[in-house]
Amino acid sequence: MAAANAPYGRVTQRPPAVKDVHIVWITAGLGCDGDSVSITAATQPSVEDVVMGAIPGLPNVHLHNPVLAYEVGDDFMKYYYQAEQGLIDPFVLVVEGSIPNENLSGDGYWAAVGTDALSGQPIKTTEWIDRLAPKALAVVAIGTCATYGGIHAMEGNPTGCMGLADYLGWDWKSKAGIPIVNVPGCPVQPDNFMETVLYLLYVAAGLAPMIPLDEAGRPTWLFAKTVHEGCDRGSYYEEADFAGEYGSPKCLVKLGCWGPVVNCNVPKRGWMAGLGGCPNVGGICIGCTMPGFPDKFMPFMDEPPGSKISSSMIGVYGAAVRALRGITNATVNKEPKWRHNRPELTTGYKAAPLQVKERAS
Amino acid sequence: MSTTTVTQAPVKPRTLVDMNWDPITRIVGSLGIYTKIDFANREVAECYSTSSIFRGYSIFMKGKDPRDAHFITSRICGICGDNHATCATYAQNMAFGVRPPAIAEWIVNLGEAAEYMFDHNIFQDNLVGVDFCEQMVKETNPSVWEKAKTTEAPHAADHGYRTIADIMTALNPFSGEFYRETLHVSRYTREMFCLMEGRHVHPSTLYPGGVGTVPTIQLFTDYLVRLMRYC
Repeated sequence: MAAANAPYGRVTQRPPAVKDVHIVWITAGLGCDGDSVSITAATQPSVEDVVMGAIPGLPNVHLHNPVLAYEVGDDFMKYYYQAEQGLIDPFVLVVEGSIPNENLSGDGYWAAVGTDALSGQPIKTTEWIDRLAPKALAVVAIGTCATYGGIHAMEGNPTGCMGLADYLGWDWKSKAGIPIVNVPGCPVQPDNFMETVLYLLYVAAGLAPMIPLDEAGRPTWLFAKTVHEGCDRGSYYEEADFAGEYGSPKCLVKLGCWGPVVNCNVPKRGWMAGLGGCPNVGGICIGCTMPGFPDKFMPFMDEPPGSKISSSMIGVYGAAVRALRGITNATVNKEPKWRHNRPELTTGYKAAPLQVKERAS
Repeated sequence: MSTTTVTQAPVKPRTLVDMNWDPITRIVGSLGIYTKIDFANREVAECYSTSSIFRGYSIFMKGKDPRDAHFITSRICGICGDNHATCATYAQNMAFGVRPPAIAEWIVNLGEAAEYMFDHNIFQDNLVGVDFCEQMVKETNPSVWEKAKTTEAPHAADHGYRTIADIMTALNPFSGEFYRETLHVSRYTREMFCLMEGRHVHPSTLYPGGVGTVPTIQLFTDYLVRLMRYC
């Protein structure tokens, strides 16, 4: 586009430090591809905004994701090889799905994608991570499977699977010095992921400082608060007013909600376009963003043991506060008594003395 | 009735060519297709498919609380997780001998209706449609592209695309107008789903015996206005 025709903001924007960035995406962990599907719901930013250059200051973004890719088979796999050979540099590696323990798979394998040209054997997902992670500008684990293991890593699983940081090491850093970026959620909340990618693209463009991450590798601005802190039913908890059945608008802890101890912004941000979520719309929080998911929250449908103590402690206080607020609420629900259509003024207005004199003369 | 003898076309010498596609993209799951094709005789002589990921749901779900089953089985699929969750709650209801109230059935059905709308449009236009887009057809069947440029599209007055080629161009990934409009439609249909079932692709408000969704007038208004955009 000619500079003269570009929007003013685009002209004044500092050009990015790199012209092109590739996003190389592996969905061949133990997953459901639900995170790839989820991000197509994002609008802040949307995937097409990022790919089509609608956001000023970003490099050209080339997305290589198997669920959305134009190419099939070897035509798609070529990007993995090009990334390995340093032909598409820089690139951000996105890993989706939990990482199986191939020490336990004997002569077979748990997860693979593509075929080795020489041996004719499938190339294990772990092999691709070993090849690509050292070359990547940054490595992002998308969804709770890739971040911490998730559903497929639950007790009794045969694959011994784990999160990416369990595989690469929690102290692992990319060649650019960026630790593994974890964006958990089962699936990931669409905008949470696209916003994290946007931040990393700004880092690549030289327009943002190092991404702030907590000890679990999560972007702090997204995961510092608990579900409870963002839940519009939290005030029911404060008043010890708990739902005892489905479909109630009250606090769900007695039905099994783990919100008070789970790091997640979904009740605050909604699922998409500010709509949906979990406890805010009647779904118990099962802790799906957490390293301890799912086992430490099961059985999901039982009241969390900790909430039995806290909810009974708040019982006396909550009942008293609710009663007092009920009285005040009834009071403020009535209009002041001087609003009437009777032939006298009872608002407390008194005419000024000067005006009375003038009227008398 | 006389019998007729079918004369077989002379079989050309067999030359098998390996044609493999792994991974098959624009689907959910890890599918590979491996074939040996006899081009001279127009025959796929051998074909097998692979699925290169093992997770083990039927193994790790053993011994887990059955009330939790729908939360787990949803994670089998990242595009139709809610269908797995819904069917699991049907199974739970049968196993426990419980019957959801009618309003809960309605809410689940409205959620699933929104899911069909989402699923059909994203599947057809964003996943499969790419196989019929300008970029793909030009690359794989240039003569079809030439023909498409002069073939008038039926019902052009209704949809605004004059030729078949115009539709193909609109299906180009990300740059195509139709492709992008479909992403937009896939979003507000997912919003409809989230109104009823909380989250997409793994719902939060489904339970054995009913739903947690609070059935308010606003809930159904918000659903209806989005549904009307689809028509």
